Amino acid sequence: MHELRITKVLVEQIVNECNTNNIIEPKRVIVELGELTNYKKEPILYYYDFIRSQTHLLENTELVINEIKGKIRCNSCSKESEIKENYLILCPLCKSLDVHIIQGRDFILKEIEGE
Amino acid sequence: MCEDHEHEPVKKVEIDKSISNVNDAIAAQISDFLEEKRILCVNIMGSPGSGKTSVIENIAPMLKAGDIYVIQGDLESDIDKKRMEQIGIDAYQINTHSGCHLNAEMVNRALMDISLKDKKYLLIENVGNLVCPSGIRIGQHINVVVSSTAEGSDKPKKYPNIFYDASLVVISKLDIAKAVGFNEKEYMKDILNINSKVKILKTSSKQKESFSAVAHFIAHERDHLTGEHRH
Repeated sequence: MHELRITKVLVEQIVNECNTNNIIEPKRVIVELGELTNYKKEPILYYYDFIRSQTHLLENTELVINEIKGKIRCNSCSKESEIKENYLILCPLCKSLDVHIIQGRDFILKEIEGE
Repeated sequence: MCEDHEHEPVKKVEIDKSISNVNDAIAAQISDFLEEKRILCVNIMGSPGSGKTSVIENIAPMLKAGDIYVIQGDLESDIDKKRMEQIGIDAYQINTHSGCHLNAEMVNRALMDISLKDKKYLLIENVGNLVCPSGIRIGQHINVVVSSTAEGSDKPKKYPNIFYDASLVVISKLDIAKAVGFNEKEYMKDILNINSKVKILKTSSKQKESFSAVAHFIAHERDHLTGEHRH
């Protein structure tokens, strides 16, 4: 159930953006889903299929979800690294805990393709 | 002359907007509004039964009950609102029904119904859940996670997201730590591996004074927000 609400918000946002950008036949919507969010790709696609069947504009619109890895920047050695385990937010290079997350916490509507 | 049908070419429109744009905009309005009124907004999160309401009950007399307004989030019932009112705290109950967390719109609607005159703290007790409330902005200035020893010391590893943005983790039910086999050392290490800047405080309802550090932390955060610094 967790992803149902955010998928509804996503669909609303797609419809609004289509109206704003004069897209009457959206073919493909690309979103970016951060691995450190609490949302998972499969349930979003599941709910999207259900919601679009009731949303005339999106009946033929494919949803593409690109998953984005979590990334940190180390405040000690200034290097950027991918997060391997979501419970280990530390620098894999110098082992410092003084890091901040720079990628992977967002769910972004990236692009709409259509006519 | 044959006229070809003119097809609009497929166009790609770059949007690049967060899906939670609307929620986050409302949340930012709430936190600005409260900051202007010199009210610290605290989002209290944790599993059902972790002791969130007990933490509020225990810190209220230390902060001064009259300075606090509490918004309670639960699927159903007004049990927690009544618990607050019994100890002289003004409270409002949000029932989300099937909703697994509060959002900024729910808090905004509640704020239209309540008076925060002379309040210094708005404590929002989120729906009991260690997963869904994390990362959802509701207008808070700080996040507090309440985590009980009875839940087990493996919770940070299993549910790391809720700890990413926490300013404070309150370990509750310390009096039963031994009985439930709580491994404090492992727990502390795992939390700091997720969020090295978080403050961790240990409490037990059997020792009321253990909550004074929590009250002090929250008072200090308000001083920080309003620019008042006590020495």
